[in-house]
Amino acid sequence: MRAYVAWIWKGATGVLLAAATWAAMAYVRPAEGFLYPDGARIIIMHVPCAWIACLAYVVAAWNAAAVLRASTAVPAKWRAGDSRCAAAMEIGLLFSALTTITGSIFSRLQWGAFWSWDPRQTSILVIMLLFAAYLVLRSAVTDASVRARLSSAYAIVAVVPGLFLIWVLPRVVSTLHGGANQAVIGGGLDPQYRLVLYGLALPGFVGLFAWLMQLRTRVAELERRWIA
Amino acid sequence: MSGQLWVVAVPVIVWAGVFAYMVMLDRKVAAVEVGAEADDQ
Repeated sequence: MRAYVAWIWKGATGVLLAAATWAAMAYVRPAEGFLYPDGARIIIMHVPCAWIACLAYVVAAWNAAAVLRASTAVPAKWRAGDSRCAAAMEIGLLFSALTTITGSIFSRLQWGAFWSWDPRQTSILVIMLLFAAYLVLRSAVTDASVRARLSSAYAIVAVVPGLFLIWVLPRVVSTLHGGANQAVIGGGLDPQYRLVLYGLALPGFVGLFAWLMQLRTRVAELERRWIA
Repeated sequence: MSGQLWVVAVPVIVWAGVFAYMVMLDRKVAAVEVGAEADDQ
């Protein structure tokens, strides 16, 4: 029964993202007021990637807290949380890299350069480095128990600047993204874009994140059993 | 019209390929898990 439920939500993820891809290219209108109106379609993929990077931080910190609460003497209590935390940070790195790449393409179309050290561009770069630093830290410690506790402490500390850089900084300083941010967060977004972003892309990307998380934690468990 | 069709079709085909690859990976991991459980018993 659980296998059927799993394939239902995985199938739904496939359908939602196929629909979002189709809608981004064929359903939404070219955006008004953009230098290259068709280029705005990339936000259907760019914005959910940034959301997923943010979700990855929260999921990682949640699991990191579970690891730190558990007794180190009983590996079964912290091992699953540690695997999930590491998986979330890896996927966060992937999605922050995708956010940076899609954002650079949009930047070239709208502002004339792939990179202009805009506060939001810089903040996503720092976020990517925060994810990468977690993986470097993990690879530097060999003892599994020490690695789990150290990297969990880092994940909890990193979530504060991570969320600050995503949600707060770009709203308190002047940024090229000013108008774009208000369009996405406030009421200025075209209803077609809102429908596709919130109705198709966001749930589709959340499903993709959950699927990648599940796959990565299962592979980590198999790796552990093989090594043991 | 044909050009517009390809603009829509190519990203959808790319996503369908990624989706099929993920399904394949998922099934392979499940097969290895079954094998690992059999080894444990």
